[in-house]
Amino acid sequence: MTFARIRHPEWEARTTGQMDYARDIKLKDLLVGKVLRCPYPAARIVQLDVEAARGAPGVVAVLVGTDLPDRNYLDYGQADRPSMARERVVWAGQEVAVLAAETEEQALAALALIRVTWERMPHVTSVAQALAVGAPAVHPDRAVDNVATQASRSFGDPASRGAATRQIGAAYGCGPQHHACMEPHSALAQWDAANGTLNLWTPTQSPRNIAAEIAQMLGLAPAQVRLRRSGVGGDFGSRVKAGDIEVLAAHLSMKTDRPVSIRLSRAEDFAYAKRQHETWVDVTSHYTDEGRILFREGRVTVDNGAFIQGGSNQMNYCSILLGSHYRLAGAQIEGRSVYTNLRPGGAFRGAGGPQAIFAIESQMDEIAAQLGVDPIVLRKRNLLPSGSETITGWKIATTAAAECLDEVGRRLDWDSARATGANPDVVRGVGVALAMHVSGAIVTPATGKAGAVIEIGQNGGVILASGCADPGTGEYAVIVQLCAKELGINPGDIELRAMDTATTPFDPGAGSSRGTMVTGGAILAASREIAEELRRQAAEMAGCAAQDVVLSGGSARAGAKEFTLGEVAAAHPFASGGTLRIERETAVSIPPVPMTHTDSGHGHLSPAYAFAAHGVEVEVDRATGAVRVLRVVAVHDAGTVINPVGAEGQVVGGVAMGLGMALGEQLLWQDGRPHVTGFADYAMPRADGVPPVEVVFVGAADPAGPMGAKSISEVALMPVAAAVANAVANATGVRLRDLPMTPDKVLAGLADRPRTHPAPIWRRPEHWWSAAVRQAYPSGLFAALDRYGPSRSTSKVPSIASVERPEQTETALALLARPGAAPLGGGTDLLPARSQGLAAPEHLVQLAGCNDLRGIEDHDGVLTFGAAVTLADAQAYLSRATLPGDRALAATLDAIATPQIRNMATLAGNLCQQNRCWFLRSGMNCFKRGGVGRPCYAVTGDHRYFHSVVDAGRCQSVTPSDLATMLTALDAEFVIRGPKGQHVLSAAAFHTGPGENALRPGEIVTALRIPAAARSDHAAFGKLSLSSDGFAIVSAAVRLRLDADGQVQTARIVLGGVAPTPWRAASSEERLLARVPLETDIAAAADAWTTRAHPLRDNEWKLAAGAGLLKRVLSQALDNSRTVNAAET
Amino acid sequence: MSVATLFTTSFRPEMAGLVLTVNGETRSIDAAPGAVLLDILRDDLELTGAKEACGRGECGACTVLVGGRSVLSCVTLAAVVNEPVETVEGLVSESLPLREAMADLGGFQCGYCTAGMVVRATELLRAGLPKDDDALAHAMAGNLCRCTGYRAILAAVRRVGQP
Ligand code: FES
Ligand code: FES
Repeated sequence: MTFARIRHPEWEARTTGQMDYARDIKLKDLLVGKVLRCPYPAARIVQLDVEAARGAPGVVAVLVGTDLPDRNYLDYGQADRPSMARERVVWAGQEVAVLAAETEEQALAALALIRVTWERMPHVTSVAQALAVGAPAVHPDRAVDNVATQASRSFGDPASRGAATRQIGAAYGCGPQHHACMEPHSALAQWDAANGTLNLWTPTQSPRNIAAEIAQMLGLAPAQVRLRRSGVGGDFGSRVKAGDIEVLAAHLSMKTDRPVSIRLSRAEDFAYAKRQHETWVDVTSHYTDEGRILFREGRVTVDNGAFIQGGSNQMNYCSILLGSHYRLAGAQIEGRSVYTNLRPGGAFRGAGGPQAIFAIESQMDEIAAQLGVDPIVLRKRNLLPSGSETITGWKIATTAAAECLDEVGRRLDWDSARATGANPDVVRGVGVALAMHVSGAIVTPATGKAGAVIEIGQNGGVILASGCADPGTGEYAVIVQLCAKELGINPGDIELRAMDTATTPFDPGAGSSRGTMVTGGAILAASREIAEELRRQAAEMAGCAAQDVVLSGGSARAGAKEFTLGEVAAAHPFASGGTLRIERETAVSIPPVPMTHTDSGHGHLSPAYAFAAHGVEVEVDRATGAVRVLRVVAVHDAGTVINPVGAEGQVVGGVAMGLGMALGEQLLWQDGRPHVTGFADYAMPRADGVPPVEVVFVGAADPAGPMGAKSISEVALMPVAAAVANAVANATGVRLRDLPMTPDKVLAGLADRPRTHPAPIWRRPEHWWSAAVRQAYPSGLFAALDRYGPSRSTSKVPSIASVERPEQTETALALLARPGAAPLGGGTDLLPARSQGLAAPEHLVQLAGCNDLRGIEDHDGVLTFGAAVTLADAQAYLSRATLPGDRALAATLDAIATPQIRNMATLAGNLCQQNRCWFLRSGMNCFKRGGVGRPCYAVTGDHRYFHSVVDAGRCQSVTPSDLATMLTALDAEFVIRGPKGQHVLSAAAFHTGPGENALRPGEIVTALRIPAAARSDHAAFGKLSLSSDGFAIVSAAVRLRLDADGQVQTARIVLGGVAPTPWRAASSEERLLARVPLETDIAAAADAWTTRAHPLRDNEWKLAAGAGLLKRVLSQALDNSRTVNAAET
Repeated sequence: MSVATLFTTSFRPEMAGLVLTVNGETRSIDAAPGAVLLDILRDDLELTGAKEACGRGECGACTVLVGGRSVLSCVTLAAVVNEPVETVEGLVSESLPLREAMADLGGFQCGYCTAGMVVRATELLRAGLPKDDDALAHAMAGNLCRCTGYRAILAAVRRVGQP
């Protein structure tokens, strides 16, 4: 059963930009709040001096930890988190001081005046370190062994393991994902001294949780904090409990008596807002020869970060779900949540469920493989039937798990799809995974109840008030639809009051998929009650029985008589002032299971349980390790679907987030310091990274849910990663158990993976020096440079004093001769680089206005682009190109960044962009930023994707420009003008180091020329990246000239992403010269360059991937030529 | 004064007069030379439809049209803008069919990315959509959305862009 499709009640506001989110709200006298955070994972504050900041211009208040009441956040009950550090600091990012100033610039300037003397302390930045013998304790007073919480749960019959004949065990890891809500976290607080209330605007799906927590932290009564309605730009669990800035904004507002807003930037949101808890699940299944899983052993290890927040919940739900999924006879599950000196986590969509399902469902396929049974068949042998109870005490009233699996099988054409895989290089496979999930975990009495108020005025207007919030879950549409159906009116005729804690009834907020179940239940009960009252009253007015009254179309009909709802409401004896009002609080009918506080974890946790089977088809590139998902079939048993638009959206959104979890998203730290600080570093799916998703709903109404509905949003994320992993295994035989499945892991898993052989270092004296430095890094050099190395970088970036827009290159050159002047292309790199402290020009000279820099000319076969031509214009010009060189250039442009960037960025700007190293860009004071006294963080940090494998010196980063790589292969020339006149430089000579070029002060590139001969050579470009807009892990640009006999006369093979500059693979070129290239020559050439390599600890895989990619690009260049030639003849 | 005349003097006081045509209206604003278009729109002109979700050109939430092309206003200096600017607020009626399709198909959830999506799609719709669905997805890949998984957005764009 499904309801009609309706438009979301806020659709107009949400699509026109009229919806006000917290950071859109402007209050009079608003102050800007900024937070000073600790840069070290563990330290003691020896001295904290804020006097200079207090006296700085525009500063109104400065607060430090000891200024605030000594209270901890309750969070989920563990109360281990203070509002600011007092003496000990336990993660790199913990709040140390906060201030409010008139403007953002003043606030930032004042922040820089705060002086802190730190004593750095030993720290642990992974669970393994935290659990090692003798590890330093994050909180010596709470957990000397760093184990914050633990559980040992025994379910069912412990002896049942004995009946099993086989067992299989493995560990499955889910890396820390980030919620990455598109609205970065922010808080706007306004203390209303006259009324003694605090108004708070902050995005959340749980308004009352936040209001209650803030009140508690401030020492106010709950009613004194009013959380106001606003748009909520995503939640996914990150904002169900208070973050760290709400309380700080509130304190500042109370202190200054003015409104204060603290808005995290995206970089801060990535680095300091909540995150998913990294979770490891060890599972051993004990099963029979017939494929019945009898007993499951498990051990769940959760990285809390420095405070527990949702970590214990994650561990608890994960461990209980491990005992619940499938029809087990017994289970023994241990769980730990562990303190580390990392940024604390928070609830994340599914709260441990996705991690349990990833482990179980991966292992189900491993069992199926061992037994030689089809994975769907194996799952169906172990399903929980409707009406059964799990060994964990969950009463499964309804389940359509079998139909979910069958439907996936049917739609994916399972049997034949699993058999495919003829192409040895790019293989396809399919995989399935089944998830189950609560529909609202009832863990405390408050989580099971919600209120609703409905008012009908005498003019017939209906007001519905609910304390819920809608961060995109479609909750508002669901409740309006439930109410409208009972009252027989249009959903659009209901005025919705929501979220505001002062004007709406109690609601527990969304979380553990309880929105529809609990809130929806309350709305339904109140709607039914008021409908009943209306019918009773109408019956009295019509002189008939209540059951003969029908509510529809905004009126009550009784036989021939008809009254408007307003008339009936006004006549009702309970009506006051013509308005009939019903307020109801309802509770779900099951007792709470306090899973976080009992060891057993046994009990009926939720009114109903949802199921979903997802099937995916993937394509795995065995040459590069890249995984592409081609299609997804998502079949859900969600009971009744109340709002199909919202329900489908939740599923597809969950699938996309699951694909991110499976394939690319991961937060990373370098010794406790975050260095993923932007979307460029975080491979979140884009529009071209999510394949078509078929969403299917099956199953019957569940007796417990409102109208029979069960949950959707979280369960939609849960099966995705395992389905992808199973499909990858089906395609390649590689079983990946550690998310995300980035290409390095795929390649490493291939049994017949390409081997690469860098020549031994003793044969290559040119690398001795860098090899020696690298060797010395782990043994003290890195630590010494990191701690004591002098730096020449200053954090000061002067503000822009002028922006010129000359119309002639002559004028531009004159303006650029001034000190502090720099050319401005599209600005897409320069402006971010300024804010990252990597560029500090005061005078910008925009070149786009110079008409002589914007032309494109094809003259005598030479193709000349003005330097200020945008990538999009160049692309458009080349869109109908026929010459292979031109087409390869067009393909290169299409692979760069995003359409908007291509609309803005200029060709020369792309060439001159700085390197994209995530250590540099996240603000670390590295060799590149701070000079020779500083270390390169990539040597010891995460360098798997974006660092050099060839020829790097002290800095391991690479030149990011794909365009430069292609232009080098095309033997392009750059015309350069400067104070000393004009000269021409070959593309190959342009780059001199990572993001460094040969331009001298005052010089600019004015044109790019591609020689005639190169344009008609065979050419191609290819790139491996983590997302469609991503920078190259490795790219390959190739140009070959064949003579009449098909022999290679000229070869240019240039690789990007492997060396400090676009790197010509001369040894590969030599393998092709003077030969008619056969398959074997191409393969040999693709490999040849790798012997020159000098990879870092973890990036040798780039050699194999680069060789694989190069082989493909070489063949493509030759093939293209054949097709073009064929077309010509 | 037009923006193009700004370069005639070589030194500038702190604040400078800036003239922008936004949604068909000519607006004069006092702004620092380094002011970013997004801030001008949101803070000075109170057009808060364009959102800042990354501030460094990576997400598309701040997309506006300048001279009919979609650009990222968070990395655009207001001082170099010399063509008309259109924001989501100025496209309310032109985008109505698209917005209705988004509402009917689920093309938005939290709404934070939506203004950028609408603006970018408007540029594509004006030019005529690519025929191929993969090409359409690639053309919309500059706008991140965390909620919807994109498919419904693409379907909505396709629905109104179908001749
Ligand atoms: S805010 Fe401009 S691209 Fe993200
Ligand atoms: S609708 Fe929320 S980010 Fe797109």
